Amino acid sequence: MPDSQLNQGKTLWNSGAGGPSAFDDLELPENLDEIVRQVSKEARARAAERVKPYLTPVTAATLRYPVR
Amino acid sequence: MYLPKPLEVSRFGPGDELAKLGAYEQTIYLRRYLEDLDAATIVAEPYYFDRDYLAELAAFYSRSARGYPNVCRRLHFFSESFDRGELERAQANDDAAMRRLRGSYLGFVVVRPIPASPLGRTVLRWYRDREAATAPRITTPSRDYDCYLGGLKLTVQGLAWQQQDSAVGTCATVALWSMLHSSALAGYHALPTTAQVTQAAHRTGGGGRRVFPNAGLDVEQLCEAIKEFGLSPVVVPGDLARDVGQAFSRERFAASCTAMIRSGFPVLLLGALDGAAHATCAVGFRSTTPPVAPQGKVVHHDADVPFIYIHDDNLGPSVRFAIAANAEGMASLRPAAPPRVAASDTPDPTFQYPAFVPSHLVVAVPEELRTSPDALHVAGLEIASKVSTVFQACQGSLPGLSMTTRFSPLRDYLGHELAQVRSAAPAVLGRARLALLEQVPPMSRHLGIVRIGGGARLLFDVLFDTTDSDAHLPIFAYVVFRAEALPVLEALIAHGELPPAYCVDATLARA
Repeated sequence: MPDSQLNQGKTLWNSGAGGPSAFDDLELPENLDEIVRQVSKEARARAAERVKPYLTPVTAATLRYPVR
Repeated sequence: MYLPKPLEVSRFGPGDELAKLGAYEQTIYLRRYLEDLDAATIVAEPYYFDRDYLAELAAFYSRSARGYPNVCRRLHFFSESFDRGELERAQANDDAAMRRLRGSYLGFVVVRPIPASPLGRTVLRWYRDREAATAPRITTPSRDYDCYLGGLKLTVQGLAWQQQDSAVGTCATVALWSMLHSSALAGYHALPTTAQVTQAAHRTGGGGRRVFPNAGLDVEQLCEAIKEFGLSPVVVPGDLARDVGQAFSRERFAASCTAMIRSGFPVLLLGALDGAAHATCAVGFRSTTPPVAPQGKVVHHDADVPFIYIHDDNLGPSVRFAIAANAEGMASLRPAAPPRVAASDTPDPTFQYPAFVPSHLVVAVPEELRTSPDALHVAGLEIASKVSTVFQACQGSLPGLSMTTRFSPLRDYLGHELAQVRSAAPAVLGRARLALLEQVPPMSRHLGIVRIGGGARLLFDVLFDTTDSDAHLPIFAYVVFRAEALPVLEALIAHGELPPAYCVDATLARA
């Protein structure tokens, strides 16, 4: 396999490099179910807002791409 | 009949075989590129029968009164200095000489006997990645090309580029031709010649325009040509309106290109260059370190990639373009040559090249891959946004999350991709692989992969079925790498906020 393809999914996430992260010290509360119930509406609203740039309908283009 | 001629071994430099082709943008670009690869020697094959050129000759040039010959020259470039004696030793199977030539091989240029556009199939090695440890260059579409100089097999890794000849092919034809050379499409089709690409584009479309000399292809023709080769086109239109046509926001342009390039699929960039339509082929990009998202936000991991590498027939192969956004937020690309390695005064032909504003992306993918990059982004951002909201509710000081997407053959995900993450924990790697095989319903040949992390930490992957429609995008599995993410995903699934699927425990908690 060419070396280029070994980089396929490579990000520095893979190696764990990049120094400490705030997520290292995360301790989840015992009432996780209750928290999910409380924030689910807000979570859906945030998700709907975040995806907007990717909802553009596909349109046909009429330009030609000729000699340059 | 052509008379026999010897191979020519000469020094790379002023007055060499490349210089004899004339001083225009592409030859100057190739000289600078080769200078930065420390090119020292050229071996010229005086006769080379090139498949692409022979097809161009048959389709067009053979009927010209000029009397074009049917043979090309081929120039091989090496970073070692050597003379004819070394070449003779390599042909005699001298191990040291063969190693020296193979180890210093930089690639080749086929020189067509077309004075106005002599640069045919060209494959050059990528220049050294000086940021490999911090922000690697992603060049997944590249592949190995083997060529034979007498009895010596030489290999170069790259992706073929060529100059348009404005008769058999224009910028759109050569960009599509480069795309079809991609590593990810190997095994799906026979490599077409430029003549076959243009003919395929006219088989079911063309609006009455003549095939040769070709005056350009439109989006529909590019898509039809892709289908003619047994592949499927994916069209991603810009998300911003312009006075004429469309443009991309910076994030969506970068996200769409990187998703496909990470997957091994080059991207045709169609858009406006100095007021005229132009097509190029994106073949790589410079990645960035994982971003730290603001609290409560989800950012795209690749939204801020600084550079994209483009095969532009106006300039040359792997031209580095900076991605910027203009005052209206529209993505625009401008050449940004990397720092020089060689101490030469060869001018930069990309200097003052106009900004290119992409309006559409077109990508060729295998037929069984039916998921669009937009659908994968929507699904991934929804999941990341919901998980981020819960994390923030649990601990308000946490940053947001970042996300990246790509497509990958199942075998590659189970193989080297999982190993990249869990190579230091073989027991966890084995457990995760077996869980994906034994606990998850049969998966498609290609996976849609959404990868989500927090700052420098990879949290989890979501594996999507790519064989269904965008309106119904089933999830095969969540592959969880951090123990803190597992209960959050399970709680969101239990409350119906995330699609149900098996959660593969690839955390180190049970190592």
